[in-house]
Amino acid sequence: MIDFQLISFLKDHHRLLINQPINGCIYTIFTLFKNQYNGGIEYEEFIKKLNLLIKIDPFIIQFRSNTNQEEIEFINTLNLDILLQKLNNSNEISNPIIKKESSTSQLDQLQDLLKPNNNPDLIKLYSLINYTSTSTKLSKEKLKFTTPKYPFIEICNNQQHIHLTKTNTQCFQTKIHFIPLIKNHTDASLGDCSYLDTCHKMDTCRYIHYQKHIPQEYLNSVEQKCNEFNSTIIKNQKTSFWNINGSTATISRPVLPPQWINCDVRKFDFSILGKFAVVIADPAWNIHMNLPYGTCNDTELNSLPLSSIQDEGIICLWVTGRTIEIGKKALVNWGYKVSNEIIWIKTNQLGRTICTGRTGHWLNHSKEHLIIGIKGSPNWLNKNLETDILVSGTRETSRKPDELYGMMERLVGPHARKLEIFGRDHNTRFGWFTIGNQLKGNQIVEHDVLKRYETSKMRG
Amino acid sequence: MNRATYRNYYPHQGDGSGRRNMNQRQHRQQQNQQQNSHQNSHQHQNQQYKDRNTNYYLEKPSIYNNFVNPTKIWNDSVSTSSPVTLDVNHSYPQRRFSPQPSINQSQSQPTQPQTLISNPSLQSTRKPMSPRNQTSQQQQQLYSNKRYNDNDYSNHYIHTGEQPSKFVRNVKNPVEGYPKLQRLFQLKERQTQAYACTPFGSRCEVDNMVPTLKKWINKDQLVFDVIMIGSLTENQFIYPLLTQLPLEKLCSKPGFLFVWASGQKINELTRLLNSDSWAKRFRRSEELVFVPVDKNSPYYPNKDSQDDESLFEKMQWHCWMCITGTVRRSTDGNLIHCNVDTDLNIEDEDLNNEENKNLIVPNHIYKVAENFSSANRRLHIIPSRSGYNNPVRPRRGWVIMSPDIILDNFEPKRYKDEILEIGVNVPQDSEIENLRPKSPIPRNSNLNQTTMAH
Repeated sequence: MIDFQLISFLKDHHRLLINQPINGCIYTIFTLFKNQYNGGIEYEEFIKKLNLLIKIDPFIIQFRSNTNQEEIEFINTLNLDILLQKLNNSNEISNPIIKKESSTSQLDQLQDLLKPNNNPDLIKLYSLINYTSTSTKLSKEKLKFTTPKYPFIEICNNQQHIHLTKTNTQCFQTKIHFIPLIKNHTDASLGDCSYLDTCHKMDTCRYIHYQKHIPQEYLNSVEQKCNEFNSTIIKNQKTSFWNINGSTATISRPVLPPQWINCDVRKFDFSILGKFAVVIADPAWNIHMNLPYGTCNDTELNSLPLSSIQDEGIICLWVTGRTIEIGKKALVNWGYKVSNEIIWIKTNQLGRTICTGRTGHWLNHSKEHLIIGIKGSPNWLNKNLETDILVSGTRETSRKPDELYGMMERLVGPHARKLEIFGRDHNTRFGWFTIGNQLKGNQIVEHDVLKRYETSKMRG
Repeated sequence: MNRATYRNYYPHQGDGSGRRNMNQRQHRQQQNQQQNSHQNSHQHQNQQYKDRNTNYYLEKPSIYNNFVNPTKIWNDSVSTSSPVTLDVNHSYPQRRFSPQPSINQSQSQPTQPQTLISNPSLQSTRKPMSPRNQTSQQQQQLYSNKRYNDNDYSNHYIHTGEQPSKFVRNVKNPVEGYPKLQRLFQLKERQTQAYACTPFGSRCEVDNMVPTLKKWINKDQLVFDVIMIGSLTENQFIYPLLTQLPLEKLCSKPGFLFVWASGQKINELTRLLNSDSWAKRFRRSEELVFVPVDKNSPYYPNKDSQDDESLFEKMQWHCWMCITGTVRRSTDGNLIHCNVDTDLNIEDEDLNNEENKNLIVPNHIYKVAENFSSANRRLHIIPSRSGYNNPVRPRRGWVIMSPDIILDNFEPKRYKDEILEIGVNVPQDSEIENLRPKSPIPRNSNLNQTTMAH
């Protein structure tokens, strides 16, 4: 039995199969063929089919050596074409330049035009545009094995389950549910409280509040699985040879403990700190609101000497409302190019976006912007691994989601130096250097930084 | 932990001026207390869930408190097996907490340098060593000690490829759980529909748009209150349109402008909108963001705008809302209704399959414009070919100008007559007025805008 798929496969990919890196290796061609057509074809069967083709026309395929038929040197597409035509009972040999009109009626032709996938040039173009580089694929795959896994429990979105609670065992034991707390003063017709778990008047508030129910047993099993996985990370890191931002030598080095300096950022001498791969700044913008902390005006921010803190690398700046533009201008001033914008979708206790409470001037705000600037051409970045969307719950005023640290660590690698400006105590973190005026004391581990800090203090 | 190692650990605790004079007994007491409190806090934290306000790092007391001291590690584990020696007497500064956390720098600074300089050992400290066995232990703890409090969707994305936005629970109904707001949206929609003009389309080639619009302005004296420009495609000619068009004549005062800008166009348009002449006429007031549900969505932006320079995969569409003229959110309730919608919309997959399929602009964004301004004269200019994948459909209450609009029924005179009949603005409705979020009436001069209202 002649395999049409095999003929068209050889015909379509003849150049690919013969050139580097396949070099016409029969076994590789077999695997590729198997993958392409998802068939359960065995190797022997494949060889049989190939031999059948050669039997029909000995000039279709030429091997490197006649005795050892393991490497194909040449695939004769013209002969394959002729064979295909003969098998299709048509005597016409297709001309590669003039395309055959397949459809007859006008309606068919119109529909052909509308089909986006009908044009081979278009398909080629699409595949070129949507091409994902192998380095991206490899990096993504590596991240899967070297990023610690955190427990993840889905939230049940079934409206009915709130009322059924215990009876609905299966779902209740594997997903998070929010159980409404109905008290004497609760008026269920009013709906949910805007503040939910952060409500200050929980004892008198007539709106509905919720309690989060986490399936404890399931959580334990998930945690155990995560821990099992996480214990393999160090091994995975060492065995992986694909490293875009971290040589094998750095893997065996511990991540530096949290470091911080309490200082007034506006007057701080940044040359003490050295250079960084990534900088995060969350300035207390003066946005004409009464906020529980001192703010920093625009000129002060613009005059920060941040142009000296990186030779190449990225900077992330939290901005809001009118400061989006000021922030972008400041980045350009400091020698950066605005390359991306991450959106933090703010969620509440129930995992919903925040849509009440007049959080913006004209429209309500349920997201925050983080603009990212890039300097130089850092080719050590692990680009395009994550999307520019971040979903995370809100916490205290102006506290930003911790997920960002993970994203940045994956982008620049675990051992790159990382700085956070305008950080507070809860921002200190392994591998990161934090400066800000609300930190408690100092902790410096890197000795060159410590020395420079001391000398600057001695000078006064 | 014996006292000797303790001293190694905290060689100059405090600022030196107060605590150094402490006598031995006090020192020991304090040491015990500190140890106890560490143990207690550890147990305590293991027992109960962290509330989300706890310090991220206090959740890992075992690493955090038993701070890694390279000298100690050296002594304990490596020095016997290694030919290299480390000078133990050179103590290593670990934690220097100033006795009182000082926010005001100018007051606290003078005390610190004295401490630092007075300690001679500091000036000859060695670089900390990093023995290998400690590495694995420490990193192991780093990875496994995060206790469950909330889902980390970014982490989940790495391992499973599921988009974080997929887990937002109110995509289908953004005001879920708020009956008052649901009612408000219902009423607003009904009212907008009641006063909407016939869906109009004006089929017009991109090159022909500016002349046509100029004719509308000069000959027919048409004015619009809400003008949307652009759509969810990359190949738009917004910049030439904006630079050639006398927009302030086409747009009434007060008027509202929605400009779509994404990908490569964003910087160019930002520069234009920031230029003095523009910024004076149109104030950029909000930035709407639309997020497609995943990569298979028809709205996924990467298809024609993938960018090698990009650090993250782009999943957003941006739409700027600009205001011209003066409106006050507290007093102009007949013109605008503020804080009804939010500045974020996530694509609803199911909705997409029915009425929202492959629209050039998602319905939701049209609704934001309709809910915000009470004006009935709305124009949407799409200065690009949209192709058969994204058909341009007419919408009630809007005049849509595009080379690909299905309808071509726009006549200035007919439109003017129709508007004359329905009125320029939707009238105020007492129930909507009751329900819609309003600015608080200032009780005192110190108006706190952050106060949230139920």
